[in-house]
Amino acid sequence: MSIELIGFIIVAAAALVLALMMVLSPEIVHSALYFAGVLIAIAVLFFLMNAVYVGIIQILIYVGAVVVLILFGIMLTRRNILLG
Amino acid sequence: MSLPSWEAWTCVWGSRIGDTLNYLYSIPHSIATAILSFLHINLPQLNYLLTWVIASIILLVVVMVNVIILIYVERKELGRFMDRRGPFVVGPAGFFQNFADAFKFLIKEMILPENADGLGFNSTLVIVVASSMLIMAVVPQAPDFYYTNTDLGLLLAFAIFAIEPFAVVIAGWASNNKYSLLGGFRSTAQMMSYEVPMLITVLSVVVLAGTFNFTQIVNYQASHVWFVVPLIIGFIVFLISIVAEIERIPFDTPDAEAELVHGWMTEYAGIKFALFQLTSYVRSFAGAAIMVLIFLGGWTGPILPPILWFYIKVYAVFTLFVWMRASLPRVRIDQVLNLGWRSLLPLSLVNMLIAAFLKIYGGVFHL
Amino acid sequence: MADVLTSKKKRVGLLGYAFKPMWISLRTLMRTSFAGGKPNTLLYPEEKIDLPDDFRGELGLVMDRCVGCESCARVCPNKCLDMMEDDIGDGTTKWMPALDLAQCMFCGLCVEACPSTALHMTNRYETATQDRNEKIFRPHEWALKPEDAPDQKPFPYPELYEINCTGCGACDRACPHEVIDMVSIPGTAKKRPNGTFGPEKKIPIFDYELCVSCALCVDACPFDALDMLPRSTTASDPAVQPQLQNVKVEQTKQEVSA
Repeated sequence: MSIELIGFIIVAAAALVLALMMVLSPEIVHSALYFAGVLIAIAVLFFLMNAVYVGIIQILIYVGAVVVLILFGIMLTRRNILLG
Repeated sequence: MSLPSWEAWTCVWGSRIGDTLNYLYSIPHSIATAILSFLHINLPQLNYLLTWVIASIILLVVVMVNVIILIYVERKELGRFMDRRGPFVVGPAGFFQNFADAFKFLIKEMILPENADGLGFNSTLVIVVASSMLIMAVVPQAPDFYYTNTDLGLLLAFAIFAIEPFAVVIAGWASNNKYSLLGGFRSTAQMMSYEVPMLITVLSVVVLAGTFNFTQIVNYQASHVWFVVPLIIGFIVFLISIVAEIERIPFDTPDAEAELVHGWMTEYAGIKFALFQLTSYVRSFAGAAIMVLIFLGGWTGPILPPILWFYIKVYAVFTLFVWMRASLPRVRIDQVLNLGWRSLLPLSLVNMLIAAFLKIYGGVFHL
Repeated sequence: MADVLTSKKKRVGLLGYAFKPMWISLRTLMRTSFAGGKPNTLLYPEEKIDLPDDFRGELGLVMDRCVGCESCARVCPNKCLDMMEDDIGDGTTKWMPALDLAQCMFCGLCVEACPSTALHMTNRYETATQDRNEKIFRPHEWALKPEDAPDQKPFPYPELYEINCTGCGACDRACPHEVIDMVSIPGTAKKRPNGTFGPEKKIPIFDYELCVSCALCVDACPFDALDMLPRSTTASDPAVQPQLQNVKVEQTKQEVSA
């Protein structure tokens, strides 16, 4: 078992766990936080697969813009609508 | 699924293998080899891991020492700009004042406000601090002193710069304080709108140099001309954008002390607040370093060794930041966004046009 | 209001917003850093500013001069002075004021009220302590040596603001002593159309040796040209006097020639 495989397993497991927590979290801002974690983990997976450019763009666009867009959407929505 | 083999890694760390000219590789490697031979262990993977850890610690120490000197320089220079003295009591010429302040922060209580969101409050601290410390890992400081030297280093640096905004807005929300929330919103809006002209300006440099690699950009400038000369508009746009990105006066609306009582950092106490402050200076240092590398010829210069030239230029650029901080009043948030979208974005596009023109007809100008 | 709303906003522009303040702070940097310049800051614990003589600092009591009249305790607005029996140092006791400096607001009314110049405001201003009770003094604890406190208060003397003076002579007539003398300034007479000269302008000159600071001349002056200035002597004021000296000299010359 090489060290890359160990690294891949760790990062992939982190991505899976974070994705599960994102879905199961009762607080929607926590979901956004876990979502950013998932995206960063996927970017690290891209780095591990030698696809640096895709990883960088993943961080730049998804973490830098999409998560922020989601967060602004959450923050500008009334809280009782969010809670159902 | 097949992963690349050990030696074929070129992405982040692999380009370092066998790079004995780099002091940030050779010194940790010799230390790790000495430790492992003392323990009679012969594992190349462990050697590699240990080298990595030691190099990281050395880089962290170098950056932290520079940041401490940077804070001292800022306090002294700000004092002179404002016709007063900076710190002068603790240590020689007040040099250890920062350490005294850090100890003061250390003995303060770490408060988690009631009704605050614990996860958001603490995890954003980790994200902000870690991502800011990570920037200097991809920024080379000299041809023989760098942590990584990837082909996409410039883009990677700005990708890491872009991690912070979402953490900031979550930090502002988790503090359960309306000023913090406002500060988080402002910070995120400002950072996102200034990333656009900044990245377009960076692209103009990339068009001229033909690469995203910091070392090659610097070598291109050394053999031709510093990019501040043909791309003076881009230099000005980049200067304003980077000051807005690292949230210094005059663009410090997110943590305006007078209006928002330090914005999204209001509820952070003790060592957490100290870490945030330290982080902002790390970002200033990284911003000045990137500016030096892509516009001011990096570490090239006569007589003195490259690393010294790099630090001289970085401190000169930081003095420019301090000068702006000492002179200019804070800009309103709507003025900040107006400036970013209405003035800097067209200017950066004009700069892009100039860069493309020079790339095509550059032979005339020896570019 | 309409003016404010409709008036054109003054536009500063990039030059005024960015470059002028940056130039000013750069000039400050040059002045304070190079060519032996120093910042304006006073390094407080090491350096201290020169205080004027009439600075209102901590109160001091000259025990020898105190007559125990209680004027100070009566006039004090904060009731921080209280009379008590205390030893004056040689075994004899005397009725003297005790001081609660924590309540004092340094108004100086007690110093003005004291008939025997026993109270004096010193130049000490570093009065901070850990405990309020340390600032309550028995009479011998806030005592001053007689040589530290002047036994003569600076009297106010009349001072002339020449620009208001019309030379009417009301002050001369009001003065109970022979202090004021009206003299005419030669060369100030206006020429009339028929060739004759009008009266010359007159101003009062003061003989401060005889003045008792009664301020009757200030009350009499119809044009507010006189004011009482609290200083030991105004006779040597360089701003006012040279002109008058010349007048006096010329007047004596005229008298001699006459």
